[in-house]
Amino acid sequence: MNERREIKINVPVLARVEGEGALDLHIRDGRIENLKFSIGEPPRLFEKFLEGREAFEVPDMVARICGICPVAYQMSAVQALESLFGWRSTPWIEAMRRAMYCGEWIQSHSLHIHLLAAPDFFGYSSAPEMARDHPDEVRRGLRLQSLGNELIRLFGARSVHPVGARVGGFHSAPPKDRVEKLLDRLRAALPDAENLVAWTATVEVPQDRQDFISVALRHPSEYPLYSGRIVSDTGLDIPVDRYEDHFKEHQEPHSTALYSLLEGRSYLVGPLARLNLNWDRLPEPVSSTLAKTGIPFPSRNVFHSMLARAVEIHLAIVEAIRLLENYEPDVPFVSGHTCVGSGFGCTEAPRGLLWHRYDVGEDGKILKARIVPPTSQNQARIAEDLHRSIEAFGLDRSDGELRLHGEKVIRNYDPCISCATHFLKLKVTRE
Amino acid sequence: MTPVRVLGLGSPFGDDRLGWIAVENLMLSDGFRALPEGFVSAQICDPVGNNLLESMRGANLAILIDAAQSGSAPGTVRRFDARQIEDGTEPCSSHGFGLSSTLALGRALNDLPDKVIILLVEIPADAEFGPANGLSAPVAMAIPDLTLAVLNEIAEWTARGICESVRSSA
Repeated sequence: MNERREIKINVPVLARVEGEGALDLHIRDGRIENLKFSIGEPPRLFEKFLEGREAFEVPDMVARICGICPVAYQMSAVQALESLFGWRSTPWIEAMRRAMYCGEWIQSHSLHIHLLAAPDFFGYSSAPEMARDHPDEVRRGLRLQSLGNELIRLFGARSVHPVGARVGGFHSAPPKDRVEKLLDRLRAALPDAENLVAWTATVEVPQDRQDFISVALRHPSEYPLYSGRIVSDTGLDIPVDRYEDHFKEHQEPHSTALYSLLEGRSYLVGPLARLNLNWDRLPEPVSSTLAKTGIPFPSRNVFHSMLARAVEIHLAIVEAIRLLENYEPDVPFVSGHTCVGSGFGCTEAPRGLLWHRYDVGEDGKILKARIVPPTSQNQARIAEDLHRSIEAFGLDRSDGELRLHGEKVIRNYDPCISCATHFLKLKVTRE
Repeated sequence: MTPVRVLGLGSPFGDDRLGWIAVENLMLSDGFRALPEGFVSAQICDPVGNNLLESMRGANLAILIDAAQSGSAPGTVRRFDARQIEDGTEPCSSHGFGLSSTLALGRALNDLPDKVIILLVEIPADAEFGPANGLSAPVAMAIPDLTLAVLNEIAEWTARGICESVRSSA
C-alpha cells in the first residue's frame, strides 16, 4: 500500500503522569520506524536561581522543586554541602534524616500504587472509579499516604515543602510525645504494609522481560536511602563524587529534559533498580514478606516496579520504627565554617537516584549548582521500553489501544516530568 | 473534631490566597465568634487530595472556599453542592489531585460529610500569582459577602437539623 495513512490523535490528558509528555509513533510495514517520547515542559532554571545564594538557603529552595519528593532534594543538598564543609553529622542526625526520608517513600509510593498505577492493571480509567469496586484497597493507600505525610511533618512541620531540614541537621528535635504517638501509628500500619506486598504480587502484570541496566546506591549494611556508593549491575561501583566521570547528560531536540546515559547506555533508577541491586539488604520481616510472594529478585520485568514500591513501603515502616524506637531528643544540628570548593551529594529519592553538585565560592555563596533528578535519568530507558513494549503488544492494535498501552508503560516509571500541565499527544503514522 | 468545618483552599500567591484570607476574616467575624465552642472549626488547607479528605473526615457539614476562573465577573461568589462538581475522570497525578477528583474519590469511598458546600469566588482572568501580592480589588470586595454566605450556610444547616430533630421526636 503506497498511500500514506496518517492518523493524529490528540489526547487532551495523559492522566496520572507528571507534566507534558508526547509520544510520536511512526509505523512502517508493521514495524516501528521511529518512536519519540518527548518532554515539552519549559525549563525551570532552578540551578540558575541557586547561583549567588548563601549555602544555608539551598535546602529551602530545592525543596520547592518537587511537592512529592522535597525531602529527597533537601537531603541530597545538605549532604553535598556538609561533605564540602567537612561538617560531620552525628548518628542522631543521620538516623532522623533516614526516618524523615522513610516518610517520603511511604507517602509517594502509596500514592502511586493505589491512585495512579493500580487503576491501569485493574482496567479502570481513574482512582475514583476503582475506589467504587475496591474501596478497602484504596482506603489502605490513603491511610499509608497519610502516615508518610505525618512522618514528614514530624521533622518538617508540614508535609509539602517541609521546612525543618537545614545544612547541618534539623532546626529542632521533635518532642518525645509526638514521636511516641507516631510510633504507635507506624506499628499499627505493619499489617497494611504486609498485605500490600502480598496484594501487589497478585496483580496481573504483562510478562515482559527486558534487558536493562539497574543503577542505585549501595550501603555496606542498610537498604540504601540516604547514603551509599553508586553501583550498577554491570559492575559500576563509585563514590558519589565520581558520578560525572561515568554519567553524561545531553540534550535531544525533541525534549526539554536532559537525557542521561551511563557510558553511552540508557539505565534504570528507582524502586525496581534499587531492589534489584539491594534485595539482600532487606531486613526482616521485609525480606520474608517478599519471599512469600514467590517473585524472585532481581527481576527483568519493569512492571514489577509496583511490587518493588510496595516492598519499599514495608521497608520504610520497619525502618522508621527501628530508628524512632527509644527516641530521645538530641542536639539537632552541627555547624562550622563554609569553604571554597565542590561538594557532591546523592540520595535515593522515591523515583531513584538524585545527584547534586554545588560549587561554593570564598564568600560562602553558590557559584554553580547541578541537579540530576531521577526522571531525566530514566528518560532514555522509558523511550527504549516504549519501543519494545509497544512492538510486543502488537502494532496492528487500534490507535486507542496503542495509546493506552504506551501510557501504562510510562506511568509504571512514575515519571515526575514537572508540576505543570499534563497531556500526551499521540501521533501515529502508519505506512 | 467539630461537626461543621470551614476549609479555605489555595496557595500563598496573589488572588489564589482568597480561600486562606476568607478563613482568616471569618474567624475574626462576630458571627463566627458567637457560635458555640466545639461546633465549627475553620482552617486553611494547602494541597487537596488525601489531606483534604482527612480535614473533612467525621464532619457533618463542610464548607470549602476557593478561587475560580470561569469567565464570570471578578468577585462573583457562586455556590455549589459537591455533587455538582465531582468528577472522577478529571486528570490527576501525584502532584495534581484536583478538587473534583478528591470529592469523587471521597464519594466513592463513602468518606465525605453528609453535606459538602463549595463557595467559589471568581478571580480575574489575568490574575497574577506572584508572591505576597494583595488580593485584587474585586476579589477583596467579595470577602464580606463571602463571610456572610458561610455564616448563613451554617445557620441554615443548623436550623434544618433542629427542625428535623423536632419532627423526629414529635
